[in-house]
Amino acid sequence: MTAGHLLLTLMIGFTITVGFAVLFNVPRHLLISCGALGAAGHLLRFMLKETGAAPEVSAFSGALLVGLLGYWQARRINMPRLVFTITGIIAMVPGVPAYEMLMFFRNNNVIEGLQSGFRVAMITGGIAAGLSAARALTEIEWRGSGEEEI
Amino acid sequence: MLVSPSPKIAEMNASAVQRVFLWELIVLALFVWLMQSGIAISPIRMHILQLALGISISGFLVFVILSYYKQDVISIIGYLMFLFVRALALSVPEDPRAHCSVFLFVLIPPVVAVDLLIGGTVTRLASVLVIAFAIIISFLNEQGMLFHSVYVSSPTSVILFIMLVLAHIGLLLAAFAGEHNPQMLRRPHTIGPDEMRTLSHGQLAEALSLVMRAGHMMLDSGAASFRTEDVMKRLAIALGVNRMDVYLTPGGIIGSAYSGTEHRTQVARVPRIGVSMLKIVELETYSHRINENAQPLEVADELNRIAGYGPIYSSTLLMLAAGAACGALAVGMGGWWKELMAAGLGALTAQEVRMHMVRQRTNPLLVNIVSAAVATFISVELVRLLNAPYPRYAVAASVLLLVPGVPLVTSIVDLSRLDLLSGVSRGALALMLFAGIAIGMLVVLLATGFNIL
Repeated sequence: MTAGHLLLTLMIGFTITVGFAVLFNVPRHLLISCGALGAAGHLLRFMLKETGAAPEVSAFSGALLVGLLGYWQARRINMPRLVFTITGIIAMVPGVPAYEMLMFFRNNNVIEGLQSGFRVAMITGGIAAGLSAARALTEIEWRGSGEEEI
Repeated sequence: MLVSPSPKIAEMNASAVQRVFLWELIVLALFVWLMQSGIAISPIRMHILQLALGISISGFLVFVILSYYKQDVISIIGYLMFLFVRALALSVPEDPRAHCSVFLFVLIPPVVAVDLLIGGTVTRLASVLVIAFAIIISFLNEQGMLFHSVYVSSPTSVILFIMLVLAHIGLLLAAFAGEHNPQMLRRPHTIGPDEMRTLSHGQLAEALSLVMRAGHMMLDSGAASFRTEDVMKRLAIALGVNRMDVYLTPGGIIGSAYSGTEHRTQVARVPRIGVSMLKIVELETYSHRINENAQPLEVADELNRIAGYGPIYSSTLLMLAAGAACGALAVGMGGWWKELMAAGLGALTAQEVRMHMVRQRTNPLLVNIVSAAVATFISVELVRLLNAPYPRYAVAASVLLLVPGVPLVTSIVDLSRLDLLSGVSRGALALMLFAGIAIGMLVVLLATGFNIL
């Protein structure tokens, strides 16, 4: 991992997130913060993966970071957190395992297809758990403080 | 309070500032630990260092966002420099101690400059301490006294380190003292008995119709259920309804409004789930902004205005965005410019096809099947044409623009709040759309005989 790698990862995360934000009709003034959040999550996931963490764990951590940063942004400008989380997790969608699953099934290789499918499910589950954990950490029903939350 | 923060620091979100400085401290501690270890850096330590750097980069990214909103050009430039030079330090992977020296020489000044410019008394004092620290460090380094076991074992360096820590604690204190929770205007969605007003039967119907319309718009734009419910309740209270009960399913809304002895109920079908973050954001903002005792007429005007919002971005821009995002995904998976071209062009064309089909109000499943087929076909052909080294990344990335992100995330949100009905049905929708992508891809993969894992 060199500086070039990291900068490239940041740029990739930013591009993916902003691209999808445009597709989801996110207002202009939120695009940059959406992109920055997505880039931060993507970078964290990338670094964890590079240092040898399991893909599920890295997806979980990335989604958690996106969820928490999204909460902070959403609270600051009084917006639904959804805007930031939806765009932020797109970069973590397990595209390659899903493609492998499809290819294995296409070649009638059911066992390996199921293995890849399980990996897809685990990574998606990791993302879901990360977002839910971010909510659980920040939300009123879970935290039990007296104020209203986003 | 001991410290008097400058208004600009106070304006910043205190918790963000605290978090950033906390990260700063952690990273510094790691550096020191690494430096005093002196020799042979094991791979694990290397990883930890890089991880810490990554986290601190994310932290400064957050700071950049913050500065962006405050329109504070100085801190943007300062922290961007920080980010850049930290990344530069990483480009010497052989010797982590080189990172440390770069870090100490070049990184501190911009930040300190920012603190000096916008800080209060304590922050400025802290910055002066940091400057002194940097000067002494650089002097010691030139003498060749640094970055060996001398660093922590010598009393001077211990004092220096304590100074640095104190400086940062000062910054943290300043941030804490500046605790200034901008009291955002939040409307409650319940009211006390003393604030109630009574509506007539006709007025209640009018109010309920408006509330239902807002809920319809929220669901239609892809909002999560609980958020739709919140917005509806807030609007209802503002319109004078005493109690509002909402039962939300992804396919429709049942809402009852009560006022005094009167009550009214409506059912609204929401046949499709679209995506428009703009409408969600606008409705949410409006539900916080709306004044008490709002008149039905003004609310209707506002809802009409929001309903009139179309897509913000032109079709060309949407296509370019889809292409850029999917190209970037291909690079992120491990491809390079050939994969980027193939995936990007595939996604761009698929977006064009998708927009046409959505305009014709085609079944979403069919839209996904056809668009996935188009994306796969184009990327497969381009990969063959360009002779790309990792064709699978291009093909896998090209269809990802169709990923049903909104149903997926709202399903997670609803499920985690134990709103099972919405959660499961949205999840099912997401799964169906995924299946659509798979079908479209398979058809093309079989037809073209593309079979590369």
